[in-house]
Amino acid sequence: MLRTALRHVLAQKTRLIQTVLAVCLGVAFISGSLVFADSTTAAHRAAMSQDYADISVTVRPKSAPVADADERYGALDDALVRTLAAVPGVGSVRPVADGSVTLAAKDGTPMRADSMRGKLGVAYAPGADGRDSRYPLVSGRAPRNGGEVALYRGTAAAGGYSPGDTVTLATDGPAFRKRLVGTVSTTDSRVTAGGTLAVFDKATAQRLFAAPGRYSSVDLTAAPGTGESELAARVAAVLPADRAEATTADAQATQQSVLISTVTRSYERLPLLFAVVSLFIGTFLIVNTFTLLVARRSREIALLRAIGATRRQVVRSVLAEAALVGLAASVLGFVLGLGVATALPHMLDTSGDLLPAGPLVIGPAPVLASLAVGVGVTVLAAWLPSRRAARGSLPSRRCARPSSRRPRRSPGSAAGSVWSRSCSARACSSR
Amino acid sequence: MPQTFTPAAPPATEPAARATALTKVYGTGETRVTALDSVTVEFARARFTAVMGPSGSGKSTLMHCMAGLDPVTSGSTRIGGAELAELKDRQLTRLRREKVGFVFQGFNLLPALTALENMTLPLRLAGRRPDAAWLDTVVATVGLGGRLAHRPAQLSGGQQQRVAVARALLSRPEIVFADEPTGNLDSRSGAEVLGFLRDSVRELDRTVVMVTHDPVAAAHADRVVFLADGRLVDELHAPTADAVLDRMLAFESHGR
Ligand SMILES: Nc1ncnc2c1ncn2[C@@H]1O[C@H](COP(=O)(O)OP(=O)(O)OP(=O)(O)O)[C@@H](O)[C@H]1O
Ligand SMILES: [Mg+2]
Repeated sequence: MLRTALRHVLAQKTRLIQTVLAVCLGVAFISGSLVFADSTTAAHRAAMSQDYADISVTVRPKSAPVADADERYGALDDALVRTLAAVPGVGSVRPVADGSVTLAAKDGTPMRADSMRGKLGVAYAPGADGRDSRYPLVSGRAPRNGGEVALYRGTAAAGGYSPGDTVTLATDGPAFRKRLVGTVSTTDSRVTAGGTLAVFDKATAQRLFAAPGRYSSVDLTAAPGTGESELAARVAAVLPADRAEATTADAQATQQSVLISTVTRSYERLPLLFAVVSLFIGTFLIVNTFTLLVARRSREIALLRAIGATRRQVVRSVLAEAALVGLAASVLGFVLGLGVATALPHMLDTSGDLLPAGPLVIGPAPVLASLAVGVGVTVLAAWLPSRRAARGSLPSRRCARPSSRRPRRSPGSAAGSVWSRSCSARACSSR
Repeated sequence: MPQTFTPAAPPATEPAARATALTKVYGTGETRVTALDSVTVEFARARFTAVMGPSGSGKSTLMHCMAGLDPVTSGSTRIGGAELAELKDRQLTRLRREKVGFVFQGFNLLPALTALENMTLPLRLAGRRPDAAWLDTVVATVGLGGRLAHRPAQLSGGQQQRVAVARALLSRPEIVFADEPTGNLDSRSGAEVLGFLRDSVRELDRTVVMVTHDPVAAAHADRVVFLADGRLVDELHAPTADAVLDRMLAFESHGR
């Protein structure tokens, strides 16, 4: 029966092309957006695990109802940093003063005005060698006082700044100006994904993002042999419980991932809408095509029934055809979907956020979803016509009757005349 | 006088098929056609019956109704002991598949399948395998040896008809309804098919009912029944071609 179905499909291929195309497009958008989401999430995760590569535990102020910065960041001072450094299992301590700062480009327009994320301001924190390994200098030097700033080289280029220029910045207060003294690079994914980065000297950053002499957070690395959660527990023990808390890098990465998948999922919405629309149209095309196919084959189906096919066998043969069509369309659609997944990042309006680049991630879910949707929609849509086909009357006599093309072979002209005459007489009388 | 009638067949208790007061009306009102008008006829077991009559006289309709392919308007049709009107769709399908072979007048084969696949389709639908020896016999008889892998479109009309005959016989049905099975055949292959049908009656005790316009073909049968205007008008036992032709001519002078 399957082979019969296959033959029929092949015999009718021109008629099926539009059906295949519709299903194919629907599946392409589905698989495309799913693969895109998977790939983007994977790329984000890869970038993030890099961000957290040199962090095991982060100490942050506990969100208190009081909004006062002095109050909020009060616990995170140099004394606490020293206490933390003394906790057994802590490898290195990096006090951080960072937050959000908006830059104006040289022409005065704010950069990334429409994005909440990725407008980073940080403190330059030189290590023992006098350099900050997180923000290696590319040109010029590090900011030394409150009048100076360094920028991420991409930010400087995007804003049209060169060393010596005056940069206009703003946090939540009035705008202020600083002189650009150098550019840095970074691997921070928030910045490399299209964000901006301004680097201040420590005192300025503390004033802007925490409070004078206070930090916004403290990053700790575990000494070899100490686990993240173990370290977090030990650190938590020395923290003022109501004012600061310790979070493992893992937990932070997970939090970030959740945030990012929410964003990514919103990118999926448009292609999924396309998918629904094309499958909706596809459903009509399938119903149409199969109604037509079935009608054109009503004689065949009648014949099948006459020689002993059950209704169910007829339905099944039509559905088998539909499944084959659906399968072919889904496979094509999936391949096309990979193209969609590649093209999507360029077509989406991500409000300036660059999507991290990475290889296409093809998990089993998009494959299964594509096949299920493609085959499922086709078979479902063909179900009605197939039922109709099986219920239809047995041999359609109008068709089964030969046209007059066949010359009647008569044994004798006399007999021939008898039949043909009586036939025409009948024909007249029946009018 | 060539004698084709063999009187040896035992008196059948129950006929292989029987129609009682069978009436079939197509359409309503203006387009109403009474294709069969209270036809009562029996087809005895292990007999070869020919059905003759002018075009439009209801021969095909009779075949279809008797085989359960068309519902009747009134009256009864039985195959073996079964009253067709009482059968559910599933049972009717089963009956068609197991007990009845049908050769249609026109469209007979699925264009997408080869000759062999067409022949074995009823068996495959029933989930059975054709008996290889029987298949060979049937194929050899209908003379299709070299054409088994061909599609219907690659076969002549006569070859297609022979495939249809082979298909009808392959499942060894109790009764075969053949609507002009030799209509497209030349006299030699026509004679082969007729001989085959007759042999399956003689040797295998099958029942064959065949529509034909050809007195020579009808002469192969044990009995000829004549239809005119949807009514059974005459019958002839142990027919010869000449006798059949005489009857046909008689209609012209007597009737209408
Ligand atoms: N499906 C149908 N709908 C309406 N009328 C029909 C239908 N099938 C047959 N008829 C009519 O019934 C009558 C008998 O038709 P039938 O096909 O039985 O004739 P026939 O004896 O087989 O003729 P032929 O020798 O030409 O095959 C005809 O008048 C025909 O027009
Ligand atoms: Mg006919």
